[in-house]
Amino acid sequence: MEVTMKYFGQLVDVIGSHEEQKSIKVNTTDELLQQLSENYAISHIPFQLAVNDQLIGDEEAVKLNDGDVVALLPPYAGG
Amino acid sequence: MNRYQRQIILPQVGENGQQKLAHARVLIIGAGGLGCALLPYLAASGIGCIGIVDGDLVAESNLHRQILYTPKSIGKFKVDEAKAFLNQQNPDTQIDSFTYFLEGQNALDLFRNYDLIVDATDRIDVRYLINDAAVLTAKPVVYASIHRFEGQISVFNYKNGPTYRCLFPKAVAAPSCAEAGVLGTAVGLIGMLQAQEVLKVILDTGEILSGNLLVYDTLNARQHTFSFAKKEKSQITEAFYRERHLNSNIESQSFSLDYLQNGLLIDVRELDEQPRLNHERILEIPLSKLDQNIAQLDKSKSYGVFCQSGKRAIAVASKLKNSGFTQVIALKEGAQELEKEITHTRLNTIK
Repeated sequence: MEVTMKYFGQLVDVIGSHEEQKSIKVNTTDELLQQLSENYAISHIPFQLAVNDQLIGDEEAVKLNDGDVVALLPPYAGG
Repeated sequence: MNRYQRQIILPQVGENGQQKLAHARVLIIGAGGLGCALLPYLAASGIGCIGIVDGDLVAESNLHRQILYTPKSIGKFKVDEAKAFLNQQNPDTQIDSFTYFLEGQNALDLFRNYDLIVDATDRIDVRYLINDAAVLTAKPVVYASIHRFEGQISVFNYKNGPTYRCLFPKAVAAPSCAEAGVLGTAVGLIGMLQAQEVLKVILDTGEILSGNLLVYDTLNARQHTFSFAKKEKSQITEAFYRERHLNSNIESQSFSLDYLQNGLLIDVRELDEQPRLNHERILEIPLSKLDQNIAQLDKSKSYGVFCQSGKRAIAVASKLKNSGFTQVIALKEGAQELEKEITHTRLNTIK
């Protein structure tokens, strides 16, 4: 299925873009995260996950559907 | 009231709204980039009382974005300089200035005197402290934070709504403006969005960003809003607050050889205080030079801080802990006792 990935904060620098279309073979958010951490060095950056603009908890693995928008949101410190 | 006539004619404000502003008491944590952006607009709007908390001094590297300060402000307390500006700008607004940093010990008493808390700090640990103290004192928090060109804005604990811990349950480290870099206009834009939420909360108008996180990318002119729910897991009690924000107080510990083998000692006495202790694992960083040297220290290393009597050691160890150093203690022993310990150790090693 096709999903849109959106990256924020430090993740933009590590991944090299703030948005990308991804063809994925996995079905849930935790499988997607597993795949992302294999492809990109993002393990040192904390973030929360949102699916279709709704933040999901750390313990939830949400089932993904074709056309979903998945956003990775790190906390910012600056002020 | 002619001063406020152009906003009073807005149906969302009116005479009633102007009275709400005049009676509002708002506490701003941090007089840096966000603070400098929102303070003049909040004062200009006729808010009755604004408190500002920041123990920091103005540095030259602040001036490109912290627009309340001039080259003459360098070395002075930010809150004093901000107060002088705001008193000129709107004599109707009472400005309370607090020349110290927000800590577990002072947050609850400070918050009780205000209706609304504004998180304009630049440290993640202080964001959690603000959140927890606001929950315990039942105050809403208007939050903003910056990473380079991006800003996050939200309102926490609004009418018992979700909090910062519901949004980011894991307390973690993230780069500050000093580390990541920032453009003055970006922090200004985000500060304006934050100020707008402050006015909306006071006036009780519009859609408040409660349970919603607005992320604004000022480089690409994009904005996204994400919703998040209140989590019962994130309950904040007095016991939780004590554990997280008060028990982290520094207690002095006795010197152990471990610090000369696996860690480093920091001598925070001024350079003319005797005796001087020479050892490859002792750094000399006088208290008066700490701020300039803190960046040289490594947060992953363990440090034991000492001075002459032990008092400055506690102050410095506490400051380091608040700056994100996790393995730091204050030593009970002063320099004279340590000299004996170290000499003794050397003799034993030679034997």
